[in-house]
Amino acid sequence: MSSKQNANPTIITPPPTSLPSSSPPSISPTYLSYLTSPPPPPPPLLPPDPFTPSEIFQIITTINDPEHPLTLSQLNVINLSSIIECTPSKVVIRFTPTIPHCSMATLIGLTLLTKLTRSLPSHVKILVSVVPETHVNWKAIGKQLKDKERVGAAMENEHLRRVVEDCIAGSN
Amino acid sequence: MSSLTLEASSPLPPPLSPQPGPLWSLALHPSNTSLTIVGSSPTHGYRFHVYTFPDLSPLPTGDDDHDLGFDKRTLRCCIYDPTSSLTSTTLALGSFSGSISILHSSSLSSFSLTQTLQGQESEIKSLSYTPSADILASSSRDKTLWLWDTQTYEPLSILSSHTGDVKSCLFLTPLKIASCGYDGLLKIWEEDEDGDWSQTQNLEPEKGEELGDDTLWCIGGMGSSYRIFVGNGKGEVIVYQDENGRYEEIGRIEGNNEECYEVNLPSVKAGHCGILRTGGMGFEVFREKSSFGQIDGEKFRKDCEVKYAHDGEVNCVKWCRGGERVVSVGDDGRVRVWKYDIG
Repeated sequence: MSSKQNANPTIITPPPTSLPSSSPPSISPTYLSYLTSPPPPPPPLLPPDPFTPSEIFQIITTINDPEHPLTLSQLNVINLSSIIECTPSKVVIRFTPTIPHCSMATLIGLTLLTKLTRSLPSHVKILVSVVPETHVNWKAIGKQLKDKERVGAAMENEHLRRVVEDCIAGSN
Repeated sequence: MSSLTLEASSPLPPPLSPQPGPLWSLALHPSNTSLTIVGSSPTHGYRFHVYTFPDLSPLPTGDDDHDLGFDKRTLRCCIYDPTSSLTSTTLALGSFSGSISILHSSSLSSFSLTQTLQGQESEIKSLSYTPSADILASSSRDKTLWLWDTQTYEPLSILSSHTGDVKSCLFLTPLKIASCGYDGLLKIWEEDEDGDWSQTQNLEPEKGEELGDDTLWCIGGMGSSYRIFVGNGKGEVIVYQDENGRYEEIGRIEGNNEECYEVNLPSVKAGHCGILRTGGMGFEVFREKSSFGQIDGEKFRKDCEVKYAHDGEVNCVKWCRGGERVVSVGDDGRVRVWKYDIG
């Protein structure tokens, strides 16, 4: 007999193991109503609870450095005080490159931006920059990272994207 | 008091995805009956959709993707040839790959590829046609502005004195074009009697203090060369006016500390001159104060706004031809149509 012993097993949905912010968003009634006509007024957008700095830090703490087999927090590129601002609509991060000539600084910024963008709701504005004076090009790097068009184009570069994905891979 | 009311909202493309990818730009067909939107997609690289206007029913875009000349890169900008009609539509799309696809249709949709323009080295950021569509301008990350002859699709001129991405370009007359970008400069270029194009003005508006404040993201025009409206990285709209052949700053709409990705004015056929600008997840309409002419004080007042138009930043807003509706696209991947009632 080939029938299974339990043809109708009870399927348990495991509770989310990660932060609520990084679990896949569920489809809310509001969301589904976009598909119907006539359209509803826009939904209220701001979540009731802002993220705490430590929640934000948890998201980025285990990102790997592009060069060293260590995480960004192990290298003190980021720590809790790197989270400059944390409101329901905006998260501001400043990181410290390991050396003032670090050629990976832009890449580190891209990695932080990418991880946070994937982890936070789309309406949260994420700004990543370099702590002033800790890098010879801190201004230029900060301006590039603030330009979402440049960031979008950089992430379409296969080489850059692979490095960023590798840095993020172990941190999920 | 004027008002803006949501009238139509696009459904998400299948498969139902929480992150369809941002929409970057929109263009309204000159007949005011359809519109094109472009952007990025995590699965396909680009997004390109055509809808009816104003009710946003999806229309077929055309052949399969390869035939339209796209590779898997973001489509950043789109523009209709202004001479397009219900029976002959030409559409230009600019890609992050650096190429421009010229599409044609004998209706409003189901396009086929006419030409792929290649030459610029990196991302195409904006496109502008002359009113008669004899020249197409394309601005790029590679710091150049190219002018293409639309009869031969050969470059007429390459304008290169910007020192950063040329974020936006706009023909002011058939013989005059403005460009601006990452270097914080607004440049005016003109064609002389010999048909040569050269820079005739280089304007550097006063900058803000924060990183990126100085980037000039967009140029809005009135359909004449009298005034230019330039949006910067802190949300200011800087207004320039032609004073005896030279542009001079005559005022600013106060910044909101959000990048102004688009500033748009209605065509002369609209019964108003509302200045539309993006700002964060919303957009605003400004009107000129009737007491304009006084040098002191605010020259523009906020007429109305939509604070949360999209679940993410608004990247482009435009008036429809008659100025009675606004179309917006944003990082949430949706297009929305808003009714504007003048108060």
